Amino acid sequence: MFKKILIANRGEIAIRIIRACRELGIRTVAVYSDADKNALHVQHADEAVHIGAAPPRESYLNADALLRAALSSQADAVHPGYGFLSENASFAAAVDSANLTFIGPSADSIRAMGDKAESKIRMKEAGVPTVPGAEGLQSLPEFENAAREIGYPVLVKASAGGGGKGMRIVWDANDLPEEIDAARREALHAFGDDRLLIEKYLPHAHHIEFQVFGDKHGRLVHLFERECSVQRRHQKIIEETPSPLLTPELRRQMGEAAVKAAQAVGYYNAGTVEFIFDPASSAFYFLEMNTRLQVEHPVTELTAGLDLVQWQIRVAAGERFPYSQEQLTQRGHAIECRVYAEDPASGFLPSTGVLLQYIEPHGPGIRVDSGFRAGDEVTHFYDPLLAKLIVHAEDRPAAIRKMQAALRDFVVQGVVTNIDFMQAVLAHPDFAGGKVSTRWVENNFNWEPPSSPSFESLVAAALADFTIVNRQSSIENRNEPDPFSPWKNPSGFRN
Amino acid sequence: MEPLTTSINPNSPAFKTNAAHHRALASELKERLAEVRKGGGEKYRKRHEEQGKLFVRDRIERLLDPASPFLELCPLAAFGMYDLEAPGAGIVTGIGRVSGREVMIVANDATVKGGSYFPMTVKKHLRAQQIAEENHLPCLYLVDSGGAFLPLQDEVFPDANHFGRIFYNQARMSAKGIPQIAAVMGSCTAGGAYVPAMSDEAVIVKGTGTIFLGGPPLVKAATGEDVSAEDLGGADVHTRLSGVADHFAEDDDHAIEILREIVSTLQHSNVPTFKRLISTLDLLPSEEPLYPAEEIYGILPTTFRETYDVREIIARLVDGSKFREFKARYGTTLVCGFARIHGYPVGVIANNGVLFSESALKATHFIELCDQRGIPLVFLQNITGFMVGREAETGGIAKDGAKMVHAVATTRVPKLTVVIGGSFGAGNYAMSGRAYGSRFLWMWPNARISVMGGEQAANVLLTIKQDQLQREGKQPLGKEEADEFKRPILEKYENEGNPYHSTARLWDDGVIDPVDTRQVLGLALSIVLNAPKEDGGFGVFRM
Amino acid sequence: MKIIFNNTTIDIVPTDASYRVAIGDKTVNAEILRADTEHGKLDLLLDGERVTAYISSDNARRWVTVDGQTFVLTKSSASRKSGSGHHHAAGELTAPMPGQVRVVNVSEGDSVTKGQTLLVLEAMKMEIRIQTPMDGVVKKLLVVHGQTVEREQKLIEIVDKLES
Repeated sequence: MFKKILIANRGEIAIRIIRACRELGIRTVAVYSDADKNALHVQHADEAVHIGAAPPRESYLNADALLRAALSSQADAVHPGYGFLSENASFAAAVDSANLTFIGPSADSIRAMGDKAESKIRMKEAGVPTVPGAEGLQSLPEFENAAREIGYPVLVKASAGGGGKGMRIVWDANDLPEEIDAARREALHAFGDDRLLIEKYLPHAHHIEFQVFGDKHGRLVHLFERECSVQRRHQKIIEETPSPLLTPELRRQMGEAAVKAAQAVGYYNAGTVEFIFDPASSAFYFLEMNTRLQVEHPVTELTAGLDLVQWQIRVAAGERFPYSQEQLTQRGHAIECRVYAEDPASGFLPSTGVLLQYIEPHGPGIRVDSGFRAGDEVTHFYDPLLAKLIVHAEDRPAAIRKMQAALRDFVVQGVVTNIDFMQAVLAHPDFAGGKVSTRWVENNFNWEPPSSPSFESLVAAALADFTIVNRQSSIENRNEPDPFSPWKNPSGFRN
Repeated sequence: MEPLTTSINPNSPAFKTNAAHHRALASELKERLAEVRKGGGEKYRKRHEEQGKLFVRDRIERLLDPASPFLELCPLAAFGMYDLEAPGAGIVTGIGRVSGREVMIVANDATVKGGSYFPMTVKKHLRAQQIAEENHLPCLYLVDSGGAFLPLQDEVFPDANHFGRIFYNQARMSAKGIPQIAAVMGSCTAGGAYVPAMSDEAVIVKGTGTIFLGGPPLVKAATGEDVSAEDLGGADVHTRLSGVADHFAEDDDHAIEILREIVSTLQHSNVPTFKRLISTLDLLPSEEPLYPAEEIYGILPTTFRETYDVREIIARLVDGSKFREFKARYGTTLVCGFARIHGYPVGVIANNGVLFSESALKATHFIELCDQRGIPLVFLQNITGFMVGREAETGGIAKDGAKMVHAVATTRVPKLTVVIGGSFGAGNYAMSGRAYGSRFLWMWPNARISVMGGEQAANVLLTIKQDQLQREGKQPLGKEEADEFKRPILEKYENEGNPYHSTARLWDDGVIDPVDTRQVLGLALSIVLNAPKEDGGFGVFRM
Repeated sequence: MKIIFNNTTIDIVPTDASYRVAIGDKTVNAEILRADTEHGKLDLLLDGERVTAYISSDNARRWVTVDGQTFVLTKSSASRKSGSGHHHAAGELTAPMPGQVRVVNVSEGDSVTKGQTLLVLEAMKMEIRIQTPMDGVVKKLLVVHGQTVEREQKLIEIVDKLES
């Protein structure tokens, strides 16, 4: 087993990994940028190494700095978390070359799945269903022919991409030339690679993904699905398992397909095979594989009863994964809500500022993975994910109720969050009915923030001005010579 | 520091008897306060409010930061005087927190004879100003008064501490950097016109606020000019044309908002105050005493003849009941020691019997200590007097008592006095009575104050009478005649020694419920530390 | 006392042990059960209902969370903009200082628009334009060209079109 692991990440996932290491008796090394000097993940780790300036390119995406930090701190393995360099094959290879262990799949697997076009070809060869489409197209006529063959609407997207960048929906042949140009520019800008692919667009598709897990001894299983269809701007915000749409038979078929897909690239460690699911036909198509731990892994952990991060570390150290597919089952229902510092009322723009108040919910079946505490600053440099709120209950209605109650107890002040927005989604009949597709927020959900503050909030704010606000400011802001004066007590004393 | 221990038994019959007696006194106080706080009564209040004016206590409540304390001063002024026509002397004064700042509020109650000034009204107004000046408190005047109460003009107008002193004080305080702010919320006639005029900043309310040296009837008489009050000295005239006032308010509420904004912009004085000295030394958060204040009712005996250990009272007033006693084994009829109240360090001096030479010397030494260390003094008065008799006089008690009086009179630290029992004779002086410049002085409802106890006075007078009869060769008075002779004396002393007689005449700053004492002292300590410590002084003389 | 958040006026009147809080025509009796200054938490009893609020402030902004909902409120200065407290009717224009009427641009019955110059006075070698503060009609013209006027003297009266 490893003695010391460097965590090449920040925020909640870094803390999640540090917790797993601590339980396994492994020392941890955190890395931090200028902006994260006092961040929570730095305080949780046994050691911390400064790796550069606030912009990610100069710190968390700086492979050289990370490697230097790992070597100087004498770590023997590197956990990349998700995002940043987690799916960068060169980084994985560089970690290996430095005689350190990369906690994740092989650099080859990452590379094979990293290129959308290449991975699609590999999946077709392996017999995994893929969305009808075409890759390696160059000229406009080639695109036009392919689109006609697939049938409109079609999706044009960056071969190298992900996260919705360089992705366009084309409803009509007339729009194709313009949209291709736009997608090229975006792809070039985002990934330095303007190659595009084209595929069938399914307007009511659901996003259902399968967690796969393998060891270095040839065992590869799936840990069931996650339904991730509640998305805004192609980013997931609510995930759950099991999916309300899958029958046991469909689950078995898709699970087998996921394992097959992973096997095709010689996969080990944790990975996720994403499918597009068409509820009308119950057809599913391979979308892409994420060769890393997912943000939403906790819902799988809670229902499968496994600590995925600990197992990532254990299989990376060469241990065997002890459970066969038949031994794995799901228990109950789990939902995750991603609490973002963003303003749903203004196009989900990130909201930055100091967290004036931050109180997490507690209770049985409630888990919060977060990287912030009151007083921390949410900056524009990094993902505005404040925390992941995960609940586990016996069935879906109970889990929804538990999530609603937990969100009500989540207090965040200083930045605008999407808590009210998610409450509205959870309360919507379409969500209860499992009818939320990946386009639902955009096309079917008209949410507006309350137009005026509630009566209670105005009353409370007014009363607080004297009992709390003035008191805080008089203690903190002035050179207060009389900090404990009984005059400041809201005692209402009259003699 | 070890907390004081208690040896009371709340289940004993004596405790229960005491508690019942003192609870009754406390509820009598509450009833009298409630009555006085109604002002001039329902009829006048209704008439007042019909003009769109707020009742004086509503004005104050709205002016204060919600839920903040208000330390009212002399609420029972003029109690039982002036044919009962001047509850509270027609003026409300007190210290409160406005926009986060402690201020002195002086507010006329126009439901009491139009807010006019009785002799006690003047005295109460001046006392509030004195406290403001001594403790550097900005003054807010809510003016609604017709001026001097004319039938008593000779007791209100001419003397040094009469009406004119109000404006003298305003000018002097303003010069010292203590803000003077007025809101004219009613009439403000003749001399009264000088309250806003002498203020640093003044607000006036439309329709009800008027300022003039001579009102319309006087103008009519003097010049024949016919003019309405509003046109003669209303808000529009004074904020637009005369400049006598600075801010125009639509109504009382608006005027209060403007006052709050003015206070919020006041800067703290840069005078090196006690607070600043102490903050660099030693301030702690408040800590509740270990024993409940309600037990004070059961500890206090029902008569001054019975004794009790005053440490039981101290244990219920000071933080954590912690008390570091000074010279515990010497001069034991006086208890001296260091403690904290609401986090403020204090030196407590409390009577535990009659004063002997040693007790007086110990107090003198202790006062010098507190003076040197800048620690405010709290006197808990329960004193029948200095020891008399040949032994005491031979021991020089007069010169030792004089030392204590000297120390009390000249110490540079603030003094607070609570009369928790008797206050008789020279004991009153030595324990920082009214004449000794305590920043605040309060009485408990069971307190008695007079030159000597009624019984002693009656006996002294009886002895003189018997001597006189003897000289004249007459028969001395028999037992019954003697009792008959003593009765009116006892009655007079009982009546005049009563705390309500005292507080009506402003010999104190109010009668307080014993259970409120800790809170009142805490609030007052915060206030008295506003003022700077004077230079000079001597070292500590071992007595 | 009145406090304004987001253009809503909250009137707080202290009563014996609690407060009467009014917003518009809705009134509630509010008791502060506990004020936790350190954590910005306020436990209230509003007409007998328990309400827990979390409040934090940055400058004039207040973040308030009640029952899982967070609002951002902005506090405005409480003083009412009551204007100059001028007693005259809105359309009654007076001379701001003694002077002579140099120009008369309108006659009675003319329609005028806000900001239009009606008269010009000359005083202390300065020209003072008398402009209408509102749209309306000239009801009365009280001065003529060349006339000397005193301070505060009424010059002209403008009324709303409907009134004329």
